[in-house]
Amino acid sequence: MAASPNPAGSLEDRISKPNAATDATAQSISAWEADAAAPAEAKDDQSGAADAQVDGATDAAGGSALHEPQYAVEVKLSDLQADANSPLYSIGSFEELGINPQILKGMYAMNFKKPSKIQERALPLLLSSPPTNMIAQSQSGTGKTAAFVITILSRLDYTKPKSPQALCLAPSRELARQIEGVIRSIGQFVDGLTIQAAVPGAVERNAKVESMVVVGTPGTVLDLIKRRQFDTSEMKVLCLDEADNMLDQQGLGEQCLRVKNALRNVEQILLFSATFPDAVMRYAQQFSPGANEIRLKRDELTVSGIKQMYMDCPSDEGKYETLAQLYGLMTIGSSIIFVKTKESASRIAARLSQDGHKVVAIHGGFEGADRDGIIEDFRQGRAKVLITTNVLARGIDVQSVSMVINYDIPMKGASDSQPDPETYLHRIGRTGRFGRVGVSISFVFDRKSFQALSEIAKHYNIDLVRLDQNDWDKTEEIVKNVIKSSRAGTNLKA
Amino acid sequence: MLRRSHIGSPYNHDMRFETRNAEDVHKDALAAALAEHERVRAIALRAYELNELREAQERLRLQALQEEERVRIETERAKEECRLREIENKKKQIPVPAPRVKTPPPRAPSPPPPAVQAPAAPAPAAQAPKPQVPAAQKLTAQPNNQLPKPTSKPTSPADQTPPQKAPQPQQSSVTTVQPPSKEQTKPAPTQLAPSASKKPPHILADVDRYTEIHQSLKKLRATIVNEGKQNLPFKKKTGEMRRAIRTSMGQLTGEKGSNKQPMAKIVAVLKESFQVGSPGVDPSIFMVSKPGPSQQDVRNNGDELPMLFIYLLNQFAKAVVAQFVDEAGVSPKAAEPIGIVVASIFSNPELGWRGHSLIDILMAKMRVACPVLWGIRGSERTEEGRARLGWKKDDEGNWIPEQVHVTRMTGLGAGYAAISLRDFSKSRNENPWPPWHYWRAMASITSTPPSEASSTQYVVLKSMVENYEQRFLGFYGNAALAALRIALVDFPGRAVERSAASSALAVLADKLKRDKGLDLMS
Repeated sequence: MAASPNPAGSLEDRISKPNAATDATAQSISAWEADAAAPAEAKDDQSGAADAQVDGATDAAGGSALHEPQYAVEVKLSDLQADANSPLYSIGSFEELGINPQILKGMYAMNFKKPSKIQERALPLLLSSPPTNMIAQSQSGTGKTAAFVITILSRLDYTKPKSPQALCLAPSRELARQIEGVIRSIGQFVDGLTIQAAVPGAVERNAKVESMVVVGTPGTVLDLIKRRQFDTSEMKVLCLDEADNMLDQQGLGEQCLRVKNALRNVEQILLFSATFPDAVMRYAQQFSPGANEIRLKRDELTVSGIKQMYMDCPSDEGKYETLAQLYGLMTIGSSIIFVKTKESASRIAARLSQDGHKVVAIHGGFEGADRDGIIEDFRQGRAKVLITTNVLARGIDVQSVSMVINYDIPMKGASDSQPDPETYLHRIGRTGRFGRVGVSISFVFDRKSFQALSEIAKHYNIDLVRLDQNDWDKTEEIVKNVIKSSRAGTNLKA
Repeated sequence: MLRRSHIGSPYNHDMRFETRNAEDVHKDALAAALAEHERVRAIALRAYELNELREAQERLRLQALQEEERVRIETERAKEECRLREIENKKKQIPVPAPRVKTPPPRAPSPPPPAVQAPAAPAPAAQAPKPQVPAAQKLTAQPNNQLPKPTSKPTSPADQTPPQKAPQPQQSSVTTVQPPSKEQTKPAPTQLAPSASKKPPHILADVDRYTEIHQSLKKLRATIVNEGKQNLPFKKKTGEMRRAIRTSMGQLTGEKGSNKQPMAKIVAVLKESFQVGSPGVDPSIFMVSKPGPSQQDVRNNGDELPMLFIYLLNQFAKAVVAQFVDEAGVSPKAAEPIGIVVASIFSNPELGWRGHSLIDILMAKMRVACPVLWGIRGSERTEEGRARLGWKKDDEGNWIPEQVHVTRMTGLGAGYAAISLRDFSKSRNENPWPPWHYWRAMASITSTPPSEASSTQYVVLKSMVENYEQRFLGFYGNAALAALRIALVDFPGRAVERSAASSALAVLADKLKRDKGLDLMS
């Protein structure tokens, strides 16, 4: 049908490429809204198809398939493309992207089936020669990590197993460890691949860094370079995950820059994040000059799979009873509860354990290796409830998380006077990973918390569904409908 | 066992031993030789039989392939003929443009009967024409159809499952709607098999019965909900019990001994339902076959069980399936503790009827959620095919995205393995869903001809095998090895087009070789 977007053509329209000859820094930024504008196929009436099934004599099934006298009704194009607005929607396959079969094999083992939108859009640019920089923004849980991991694995020279050739930086040790895990998984069938983490305590003093791929935190990596444990002469790819967060923070941003300057021969700088506030974007463009850019509009930031609700609690103390009830309302795999203070983290942990939940709590008070262990327990499902302060808002991907609770609304600024929409977004992004349904429930109990949540909702233009703790039968019903519904509690436009 | 004389082994030649030439020694030697002979002979026989089986299997496979090829060619011929007929039809209609009439809205010259019309027959028969109703005949309303009727072929792989959504609920189950314990006028059929005999062999028995049970459970649920509308405390109570079960299901983890608390809670809630007053209901409505009263002294030996109890078992089953889908779909290992709890609940005699498990309640749900486990096939490219495969639709009637469907199937496949590969050798109770169900499901999937195999089947098969190969080998030994080879090497190898789903199955074979040293290729 005519309205169907031509993928090859639209790629040109949508993603800017630097005009190398004339102006290396000029980019035209384009967003994905072009997709949204492309009308999803006129919804071919399904009822027609259903009729046709029942009654062999109707001719409503449409003439387009006339030349294909199949004996069953083909799935309508409109169904296959119904979710063309979804960040997960894609038409291609990994095979078509020309990825090395050994890498493909690892992806099959991880149950990857088709590229997500960001992967489909970004990978051809990321893998093209000569290597080009990239700044890519995509919603949480849409496969950013896999996109840059595939790129890194494709760029390595496997005849030099002891030379570090790609460096990936992350803002926290947990995230670095996680990325390391993803590289190991995707690269499990790649012969001769070597990977190493460079987080505090992971590299012995005086030991050389001798792996092809290094994943670390900026501080540790910088130390290793300074102490000449880390030879950067063969370094080809530098990748920053949660890039806005790293570049934005005084210390981290500085360290990142110094790491970058130490890599003389780097060919490709990749910046990935779900959020890129405008101020950071300008800096990012300096950091990764001449980059291809893939960006999102602000109200496209949340993923439709995350059903956002809020709970009206009677009082601050009343929040706990409400919390305990939530687990009966819906099917929950793992869950994360975000709280403000260490003390309430410990208190809630104790009470939930009493109720039969397997709980772990993590906050700034824990040392590095302990933190690794706690996260691992949670990741492996030995504990199913994670209670945490802000430490973990970003990037951590535990697939089975089906509920995120904002026990306290995220705030920022002097004495927590301002609502913090970015943190809210990263928090709820811990669920609804890769197209699955996830639920986020924010607790409000007084004017201030209510106000703060309203502002966040306004910021992203989302409709939060209100839940009530007076009639649990009714609340259960509401939650059920929200989860079932393809629209409620999201900003997905019709 | 060897008969041993008091003298000791005949091979222990001890010259000092006077009786070494005694008759007993001689007999012992003979017996030993005989035993050895028997042993060797048994091994040889087994090897011979195995070889016979292999050859038989190979013959069957070849036959199937030939049959497929024949069906394919015939289909193609039929299609070609359809096309020809269509062209002829069109030709006939070309020269009859209606005379120009201005006033009425333009009415197109009556179009030729489009060929896409769905066949009246319920099954799509995408690959092979239906035996009795040549689909081609349906295509054109021409009376003088000269199409050769495809020879009816009983072995045709055409899927003949009737549409699943509308099995007429038995009247007996309708009676459940009447809330208070009206006498169950019509006892459920002892063994239901209306259309079972007509089914192709790859569709497992009882599929239709399970859809009926599923419908009956829906009615029972409606009854309880209606009751709740009049009786608020009852509504509150059932709500609390339902949520308690769901909460406990969500608390399960893979750690040994860590699930005592949630397990105990579920059992407690189920038992409590015997105390809360609710009308009785004939449990056989929710079973495949009706057991007679037990002669032994078992719990729940009467004619009825409380309706609330069945309702809660149903809620438990729903929670199990939901947890498989939502949790095990993304982390398949989460299926294991759920499987343990399922086995424990449904083998508990106090939670059964007349000494029999009520696991059919859960299986009715599994049957609807994951039909391929029951041998049902379908094409993912057709509406009917997707419906048959258990591909869900969202609230707006669109098929759910592929990724979501795949995740669902992954969880359900792993869940089925977790339920059916349980070791009851040390249990006092009877295994409610023994391993042969697993074998049967695997066989029904792997026997799918390549042209009919779907990604859904590859996905389910993969998750049934992954993490469970050890257990499977434990139950079936060499036979399991052969089955795994078929499932992970032969079956994906035959795939018509390489897809991510079939490749993932093949990669699993590589993984088993690399991680567990299990080489299926040689």
